[in-house]
Amino acid sequence: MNIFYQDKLLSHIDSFTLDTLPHTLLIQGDLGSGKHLIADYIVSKFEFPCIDITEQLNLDTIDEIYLSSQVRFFIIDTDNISVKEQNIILKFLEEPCATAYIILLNSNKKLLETIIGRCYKLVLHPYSKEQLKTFLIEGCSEEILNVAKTPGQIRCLIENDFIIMMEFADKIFNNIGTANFSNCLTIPNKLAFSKKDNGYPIDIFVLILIYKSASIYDVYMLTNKLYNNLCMPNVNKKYLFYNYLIDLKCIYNEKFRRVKV
Amino acid sequence: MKNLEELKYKIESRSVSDEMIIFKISDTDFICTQYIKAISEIRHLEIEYVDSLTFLIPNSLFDNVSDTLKVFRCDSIEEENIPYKTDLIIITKKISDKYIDYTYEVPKLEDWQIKDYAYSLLENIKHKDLDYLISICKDIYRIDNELSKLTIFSDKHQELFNQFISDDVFSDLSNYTVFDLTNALLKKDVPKVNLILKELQNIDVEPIGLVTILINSFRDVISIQFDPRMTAEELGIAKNRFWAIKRNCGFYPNTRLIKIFYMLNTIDFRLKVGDLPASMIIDYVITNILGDS
Repeated sequence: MNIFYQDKLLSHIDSFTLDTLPHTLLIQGDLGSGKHLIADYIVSKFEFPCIDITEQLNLDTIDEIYLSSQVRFFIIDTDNISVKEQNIILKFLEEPCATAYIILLNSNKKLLETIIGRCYKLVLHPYSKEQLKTFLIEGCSEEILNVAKTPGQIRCLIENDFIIMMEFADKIFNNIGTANFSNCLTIPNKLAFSKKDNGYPIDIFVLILIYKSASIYDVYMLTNKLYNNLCMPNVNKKYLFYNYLIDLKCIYNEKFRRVKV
Repeated sequence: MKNLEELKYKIESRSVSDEMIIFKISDTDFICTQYIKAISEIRHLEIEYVDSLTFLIPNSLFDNVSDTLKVFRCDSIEEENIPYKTDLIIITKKISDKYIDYTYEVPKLEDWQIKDYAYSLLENIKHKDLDYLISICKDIYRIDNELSKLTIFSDKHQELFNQFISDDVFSDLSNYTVFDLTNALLKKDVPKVNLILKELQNIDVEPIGLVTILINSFRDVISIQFDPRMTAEELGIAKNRFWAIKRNCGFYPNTRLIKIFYMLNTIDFRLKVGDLPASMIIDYVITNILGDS
């Protein structure tokens, strides 16, 4: 298992023993920073069985955990869980089980404060541009480093054809002022708002939009607002994006009108 | 396949055997439940609804002795081997040909049959009153349920029916659905919206669901209204759906459509982050869509 540039965090994890390992850990880091790798590192160090219960978060699962005498790790990716599911986790955190070690993974998305307060936090260190350069594959544009902040984001941008995504973002910004709303509403068809959808993942595409919008203040602030709203739990990302497009069109229409005058 | 009339004859002549019966349905299983009830009465058996056919494998000497009529419901039995069993009734939509000798095809319940059923149960109630009751019930089970409120009394059914109407006993019935409300909003049909709002507590309208349906509907209208040259193929939808959406175009000006769409998306976000209470949503949505028209 190769985890790069997180030596401080790894040595902190190495210092844990079975007696000192907290029963609830919260691993925090940007999307693609290596949270799953860190979780796997912890699990392999202590060699207990591990189950990902993100898709089965309900009271029956919690009851089963309490009734089991086997020591196990349980991983929960909190990025897309609802407030109701967070409350289920909270119930569990308030009365920890001696045989269960819970590892929560969070990409700095909004989590209930009461959950954060009950967990031992392990925070991944941000990556520098020089460090990220080592993750680029041959032939990749270094412009990716202006967009991606983590190795996972670099990989995702490469897999989804970074250049095509950049061109798509350019097309949006260049044409949205003059396109009719009917055409604007077809833009989300090229994006993936959930795991089931095909298209460019919205969580990655919004990073490109932020980068591309940096030169226009209103657009940059609007795009950052979209990015922050996408971090809220349980929201419909597609509907957020629709409103983003409407606001964007209004900004560009206004700019066009001013230029015309 | 066997004829249902044959089974009906056996029931009427009280000559139903313990042989397995399979009902092949295409719609509701209401007719089957009537037959099951009749068979259980004739053979003096309790009815037991089972979740699987695994009970058919005998575990002991006593397993073949039973005083229950087992009923099993499923979507299809094609590959499964049903060990021959007595006092077993299966209700299914698809059945393998190897069980054709046990299978009765149950026809779809027609409207005139439902009316006949209601008229026969309550002969001394005016037909137009029963027709009204049938029109406001959503399905045959609901009709049967409402009729049973009257049939438990031996006479004076018409008097009781009138009493029930004035006491609002049937007031929780409505033939409006959430789609009637959304269609009325899309067409800016204020009188219809008012009518539906009066019966709102009887309609199953879930606030988040209403907002989602409206968002999708207004988005579809925008896609077509803003581009009159748009076709079903370009939108990737069926032609009949395209024309149904087109009929909803033109009730709001373009700028108003965008404002409504934006407002609905915002409401969805505020609902999901807990900024808006769900109890207020229906009134809030209707006021904001129809207001300022």
